[in-house]
Amino acid sequence: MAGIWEYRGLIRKIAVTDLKIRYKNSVLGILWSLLQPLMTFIVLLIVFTGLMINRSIENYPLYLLLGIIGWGFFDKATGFSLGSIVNKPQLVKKIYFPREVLVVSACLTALMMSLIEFAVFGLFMLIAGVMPTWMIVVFPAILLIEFTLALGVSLAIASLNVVLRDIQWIWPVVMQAGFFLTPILYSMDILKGIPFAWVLQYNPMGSILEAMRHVLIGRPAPLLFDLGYAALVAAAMLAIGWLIFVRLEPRFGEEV
Amino acid sequence: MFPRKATEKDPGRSAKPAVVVRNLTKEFVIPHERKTTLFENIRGVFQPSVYEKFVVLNDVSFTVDRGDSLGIVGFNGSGKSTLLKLIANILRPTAGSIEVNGRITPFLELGVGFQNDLTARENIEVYSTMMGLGDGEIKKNMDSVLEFAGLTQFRDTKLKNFSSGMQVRLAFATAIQRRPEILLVDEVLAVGDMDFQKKCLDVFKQFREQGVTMLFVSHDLSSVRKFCNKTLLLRRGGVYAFGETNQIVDRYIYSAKPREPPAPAGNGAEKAGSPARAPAANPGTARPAAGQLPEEQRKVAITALEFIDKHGAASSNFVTGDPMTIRVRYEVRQVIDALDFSITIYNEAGVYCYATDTQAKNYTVDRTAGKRALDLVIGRIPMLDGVYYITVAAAPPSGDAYDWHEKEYSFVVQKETPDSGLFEIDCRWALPGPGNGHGR
Repeated sequence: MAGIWEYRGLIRKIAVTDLKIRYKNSVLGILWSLLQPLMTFIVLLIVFTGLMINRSIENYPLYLLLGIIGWGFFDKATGFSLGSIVNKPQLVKKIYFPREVLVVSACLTALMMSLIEFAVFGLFMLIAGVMPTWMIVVFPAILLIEFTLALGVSLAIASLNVVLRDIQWIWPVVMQAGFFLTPILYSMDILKGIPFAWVLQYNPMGSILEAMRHVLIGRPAPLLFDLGYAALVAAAMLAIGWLIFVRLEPRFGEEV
Repeated sequence: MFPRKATEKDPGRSAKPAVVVRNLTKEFVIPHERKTTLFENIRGVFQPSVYEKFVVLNDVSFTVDRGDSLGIVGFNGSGKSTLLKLIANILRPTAGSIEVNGRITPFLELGVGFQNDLTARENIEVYSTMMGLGDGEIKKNMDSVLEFAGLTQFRDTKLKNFSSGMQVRLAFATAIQRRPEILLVDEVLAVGDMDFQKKCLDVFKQFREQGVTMLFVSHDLSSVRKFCNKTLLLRRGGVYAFGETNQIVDRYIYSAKPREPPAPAGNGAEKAGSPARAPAANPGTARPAAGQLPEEQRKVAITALEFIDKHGAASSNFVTGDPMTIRVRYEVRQVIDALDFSITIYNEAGVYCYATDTQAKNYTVDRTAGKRALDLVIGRIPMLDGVYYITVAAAPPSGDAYDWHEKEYSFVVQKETPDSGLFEIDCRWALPGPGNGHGR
């Protein structure tokens, strides 16, 4: 993994190129990366404000939007990574470089897109009159933890997808379930009393979103606990993902 | 196009050979029914899969010294490309080891990672980064790369608007901007037009003079001869011969009969450096294995095939444009009603080049009992460089052949003209005028 640092130039190049190509032939170009989460946000906002599920949540629009963007990063990173090996057979079969480069680049593409979204979120905060506090300095650390978690999962699914192509169909379903099992639309409080709902508090994405909301919009949360727990899970996931990847990597040249 | 890490901390430029391959074996597992989905895998638990192991390379060992250019030749399926991919670290060995001392630049395919939606300039940037160049270096080289490719005015044109020739030029120009340490070339020269091929060869020659180590997979024996000081001949995944190019090409390729030597299953007999089988002394007289019937039951048996040159001597080396006679020796053992002979010519790539038979030429074959001979007289050889294989058959006008020898014999043609391609066309350049054009 340390050898990857040598290839940072390539990682950056592939990530930037993928970003360019992704929206190359659409009229609105990279704006789509912003419009998509915003549109999801508007739809969910209308539906859920109407349903009045969230009376207890202060600043619900910001709460919801931050949840969508925060989750969106994880969703995009794993989604892009899923095909990062199998969709580049030309590279994998004809040239050598550590294959991790492709997965790291995919996560980086997702990060770049999400950073723009977070910047737009900043605008929304200002519009809503919520001023960030000094706590914002913790934000990059949270993002780093999320990146690590996403990279760990990505390494696992990207390499498994080479030998088991089913993963590419299963993963979107997993992500869909994840969207509803993570406190994006709701807060954990409303789940009190529902049997087995306590399991959901072990969802590291829940801790990550909770921490983001704490440092950006001041929602009360046990920050240190959330960060510690999420970091621990992320590190473990990275180790597991990397082990799976290294195990399967020698087969890439033949199976892609 | 990536620097593959040297196996040692200090590559020790001067002393260590560039590539050392030791007892390399590569097997591909080919399932009869490939399981790539989860469902198939679950079903497979109850229904164990049937698969075959296909040994592509078997116990291959050789060493490439710094500055050598090694030609890797062999039939289709002899493992040449697999060997390059293993050295490039794209595939991993099943057994054995590969030691590489230096930065490898593989030219397994030109334009790897080229994206249609990016401009020429952007593609150069991406491709160069893949070859391990830094941003500064890429910027510095940009103009000269575009110039070499002859695409300076198209720098901001998207790749999809380029012709395939332009794309190849762009790819090549990008790929060669930095002098490699160890270059792996897999028949890249087979693409592009004549001009481009010449340009490639010039660049490779220059690299060779600069002491770049090169491994060069090719079907084109004449470029291997021109270009490589050492040659590795692979047969059935083993090293059949390895050594000085001229020696290998002459002894093993030009004079050996093209049949694969009969090797025992799972053979490990063909060890490095010790060509296990002496080639047949005379290509034209090699006794083939049985065709269909056992030797003694055949009514007609083909006993030999000879190639006779313009001096009337048996030979296997010919020059384009020279006359040639193919002499078939056969024995008629039983009285038969009719007998025809056919001769088919294939090139090295197995392409069916030409076929003729005695019936088509209205020639009546001597079918009286005894030892006989028959000549196919060729006025001038139209083929340019290459090795050609002959299939000869003796048959009645209809029904099963009495005897046939499938690609048992071979001869080599070398050209003496600067023309290139498959065959020579009788042509000249001229000013348009009366008496020149065939039409008006």
